[in-house]
Amino acid sequence: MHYIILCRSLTKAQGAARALQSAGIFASVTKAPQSANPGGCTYGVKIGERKLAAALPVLRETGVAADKIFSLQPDGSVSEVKR
Amino acid sequence: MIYLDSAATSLYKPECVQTAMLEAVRSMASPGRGAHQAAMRAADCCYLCRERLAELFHAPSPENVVFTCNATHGLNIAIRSVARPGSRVLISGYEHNSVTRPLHALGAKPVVIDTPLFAPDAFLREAERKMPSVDAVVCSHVSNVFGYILPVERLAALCRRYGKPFVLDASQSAGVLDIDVQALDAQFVAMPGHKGLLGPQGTGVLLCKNDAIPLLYGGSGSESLLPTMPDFLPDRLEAGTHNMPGIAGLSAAVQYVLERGCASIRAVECERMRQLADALERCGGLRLFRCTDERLQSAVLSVIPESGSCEALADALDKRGVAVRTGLHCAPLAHRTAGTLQSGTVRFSFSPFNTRLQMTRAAELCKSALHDFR
Repeated sequence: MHYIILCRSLTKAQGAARALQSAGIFASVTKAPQSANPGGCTYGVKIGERKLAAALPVLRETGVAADKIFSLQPDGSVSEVKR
Repeated sequence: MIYLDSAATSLYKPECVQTAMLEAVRSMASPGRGAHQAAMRAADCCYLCRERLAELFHAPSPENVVFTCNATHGLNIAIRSVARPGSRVLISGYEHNSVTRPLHALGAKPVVIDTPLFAPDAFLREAERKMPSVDAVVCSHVSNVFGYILPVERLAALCRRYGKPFVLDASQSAGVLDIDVQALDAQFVAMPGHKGLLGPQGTGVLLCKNDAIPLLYGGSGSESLLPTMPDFLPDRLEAGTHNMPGIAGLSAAVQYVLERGCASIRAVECERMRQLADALERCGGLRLFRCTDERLQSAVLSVIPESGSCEALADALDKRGVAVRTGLHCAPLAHRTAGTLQSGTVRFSFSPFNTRLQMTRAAELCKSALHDFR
């Protein structure tokens, strides 16, 4: 399983991925599932399931709100993570 | 050919520019239009270019870096964001039509700081006198006609003191003079990619402090369900498909500038100008617009022949293989301020790739061209 942290823009997602990688957390930019974003197309950063706790403070420092996080199952289904 | 028209467009570019552009044509799609490899290569290229530009100009983040088609495009966005019809906008007496025409089209009222060439203290006194009555300030960093380096740091400080939004036109300074967008606290800094930044034509950059009014509306690859443009940068100002070969070339060029350093580039350009100007002064027959204080002039040298027209001299130089520009240089206001509106000038402008040998040869050819008029 992976987590997708929704970002407001592609550029924001790229900045978030760059910050996570600098912190030693493997992250990639991915197009967010349509169902995950009521506003239409956007991007997010994808991280491994055990990296979420470490990623959140890094993202806060980068200015990414990380208020919408989705779990991505191996079958491609997504569901919002309630925190 | 000896190319001395770099203030219009840099012709000599670092080798890496064309390599990067070719690679983009071969391998990149469009950023923000998918997540496949070709789209993500383009996205990575854009982001890297934004990072490099943010580093060069001390922008707070890559998100503050907006790609435009040229400086004019950026200035149109900036001017429409800080002024309204009827707004009073303070400008220098050395502005290009890329500032004066958008102001005119908008119905804004330019308030001109009409002070002599190479007189920064007089400029600042006049700016402060007029500042309280204006709504915004737009100013060139360097005159494209005379190379006059305007005291924009001190002008920006005045804008901060009086609470006026400040727009900097860095068309002739980007890549040559240090620009710290955060220290200036400028609302916008507009620049072309194809002059001092040594990138390809059709590229430009607008550094934005925060909000801006879009000039173009359309697809941005984000917030697609909204009928309006997204409210965040850079998407808000980047409607439509990006110029990926241009951005790739610009990114390579900016990296070159970062590695070589603006001060080093400026030193070479000014040394070339000094060499040519000294030789032209020795030849006689020309009025040179040259400042004795080299801190006040970038590598742009205007001259007027004492006999014959500027156009005839430029034509004679072209026939001898020296490329210069003549006329008003799209800056009639600068000529009006400097008193050269009737004749225009012949402009020599320099590149970090011009050589000493080229200057020696250009001076000889200029002497020969002037001889035709005597």
